[in-house]
Amino acid sequence: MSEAVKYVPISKEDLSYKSVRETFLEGLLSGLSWLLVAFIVAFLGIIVVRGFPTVSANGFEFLYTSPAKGLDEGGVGPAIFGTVALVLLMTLFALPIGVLTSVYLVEYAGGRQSSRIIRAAVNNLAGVPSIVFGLFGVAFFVLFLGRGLDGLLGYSTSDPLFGKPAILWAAATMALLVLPIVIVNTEEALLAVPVSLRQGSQALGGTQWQTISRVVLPQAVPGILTGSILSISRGAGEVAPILFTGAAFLLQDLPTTQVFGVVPFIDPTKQFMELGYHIFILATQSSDVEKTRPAQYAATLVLLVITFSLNFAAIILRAQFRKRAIR
Amino acid sequence: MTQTTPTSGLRSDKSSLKYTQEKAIENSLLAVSTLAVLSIALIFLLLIYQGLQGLTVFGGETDLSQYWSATIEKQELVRNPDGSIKTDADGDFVYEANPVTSYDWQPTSSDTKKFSLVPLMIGSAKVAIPAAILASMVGLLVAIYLSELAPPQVREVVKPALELLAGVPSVVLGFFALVTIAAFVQWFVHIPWVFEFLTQTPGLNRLMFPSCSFEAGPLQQTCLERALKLGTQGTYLNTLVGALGVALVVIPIVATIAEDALRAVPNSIRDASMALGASRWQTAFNAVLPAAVSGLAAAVILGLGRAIGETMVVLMATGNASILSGNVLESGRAITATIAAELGEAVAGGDHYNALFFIGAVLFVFTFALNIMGEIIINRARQKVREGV
Repeated sequence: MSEAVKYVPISKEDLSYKSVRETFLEGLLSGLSWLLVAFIVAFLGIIVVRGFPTVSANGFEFLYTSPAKGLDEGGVGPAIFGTVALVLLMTLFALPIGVLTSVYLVEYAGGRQSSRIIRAAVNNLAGVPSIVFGLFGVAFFVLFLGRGLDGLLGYSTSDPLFGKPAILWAAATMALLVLPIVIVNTEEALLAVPVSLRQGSQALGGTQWQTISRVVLPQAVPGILTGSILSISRGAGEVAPILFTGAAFLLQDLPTTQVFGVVPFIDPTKQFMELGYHIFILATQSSDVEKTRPAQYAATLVLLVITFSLNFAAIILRAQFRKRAIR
Repeated sequence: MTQTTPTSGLRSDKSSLKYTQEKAIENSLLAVSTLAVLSIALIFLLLIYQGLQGLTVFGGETDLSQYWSATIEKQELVRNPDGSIKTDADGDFVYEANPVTSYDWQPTSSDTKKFSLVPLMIGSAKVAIPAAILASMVGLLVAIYLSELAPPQVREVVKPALELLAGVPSVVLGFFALVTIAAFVQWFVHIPWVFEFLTQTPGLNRLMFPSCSFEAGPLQQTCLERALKLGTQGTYLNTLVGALGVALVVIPIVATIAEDALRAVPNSIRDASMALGASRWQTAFNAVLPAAVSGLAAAVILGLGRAIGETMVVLMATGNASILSGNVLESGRAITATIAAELGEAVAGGDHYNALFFIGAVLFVFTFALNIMGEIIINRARQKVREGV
């Protein structure tokens, strides 16, 4: 026994069969990873290189001009406006419901059965295919709610106010889609608030709601912001849910109205152009697909810049918020 | 909060105004959360309801078999016993209606509307299965490498790149597949030795191109070449292009879930393996991997669910022809793409509309089952890790 034990240090110079094989296989794995990175870089590079000349031509007029000559020429101004309007309305729906749901889950329902059911439902909502949301949007929002409202308000089905695809219903559909993102991020933020803060507030005589509204929620704001930014980024990129609930090929007018005759605001009953949908239409339905290729790359670049800058903002915000939470 | 009498405490005085307020707030919060859950239940119920409406498409009869196949009358020439075509007194050909089983999705056909799900399921499978296989291989290997073997500097580059890919909207990936991947696949299958391999291997060419499965010769060669170029609108879109595009959507998902599963494996297992003299590679594959295997399986299942549910990439890159063909180099029409392409022109409440909701319900139930399966596996794995088994 005393002779048999011999310490063999494992070094880089150890060229046994096993270590050569392992080095080789590890090289393969690292090669695969780098290949993936190279691919992603190439993919983004192609879009930037092909898209940028069109976007930047004539002082970036692509960003604010309307499509002209069908869809063959012109820019994506209305599509950008529609995308922004869509995510604004969507946030208006999703943020309050999502934040209040997470507050209930974390602060009131702790580990109760109800919280488990809600959490399971939310998790599964995240896995539902986006086109199913589109189906739901048509059947529930447009046809059921919209036509129902029209019936109540006395509009006929031939000249509907709400019972047709509109930005309101597209935003509501999208809000359902991003609800899990808001809920998960808010929950994380609420859970990161130390229990001692809550106890301190309650020790001073604060009620539960006073503790939540004045101590916990202000602490959780960065997390809630992260969730909303991520959901806005998702909402700006998804196309399937709005295919039938409000997006339009080509519109002359922006979906706006004047509140009280003066204040411009989004008209929730109008259809709208949207950037992702615009890319889909340009790439598959325009009269000459090859001719509009530069515009397709340019629109893709614009959409990518929007979603990436939103994601980037969320990452930075989250990093800072985590740093603070650790302190 | 100037008064601090004992009665202002919540638990002590249930009749106080503050207590009522607090209860009201709690209840309204419960109502909002219930609304969130209800909306999910509503999606479920509405799809089931509309799907059942879809079952009554055919003249009020509940008949599931219509979604599998339809028996249609097909006009065929009548032949005499000697093999020549039978003619009537005026010299016109005589036709005879024969019942034929059809597996077609032709919901707007002018004579008999056909709602067979078979071509759609083939289309979905042709996209989702290759995509899930490719994405699982790449995603799992990258996750193992990143979590167990890669130096931190490499991790710091690859991880953000994957996150970047995860943030790309699927319509952008669809566009990329439509333009770049389609051109790449077209170039690839026309590399002489690849083309030779695909068309000359006896078993393979029948599998890949069943329509050209007659005897070898110049005629078959022409047929094969034409089959390879097959595509819609002059672009070469087929389910392989769609599958590659969908794989790009699924890779970050698989990699993220798999990495989480690997990271959940306690370090004590790695330490024990290393202490026994195993190399990092042996530790990764013989100690960590078996401990994380259920999490990795969940990653693959959730990836498959995502691949089946993906819409925009499939709609843009697969060509969308509803044909009965197992060939990934031919076009295919997936369930998601069918809904996306046809719901716009279907009349609300009509047969076509209800049939689309039925396939939507099928899709929903299928992906839902996959998600629940993945979820259960992940939860069990977590529990196992927590209990230290």
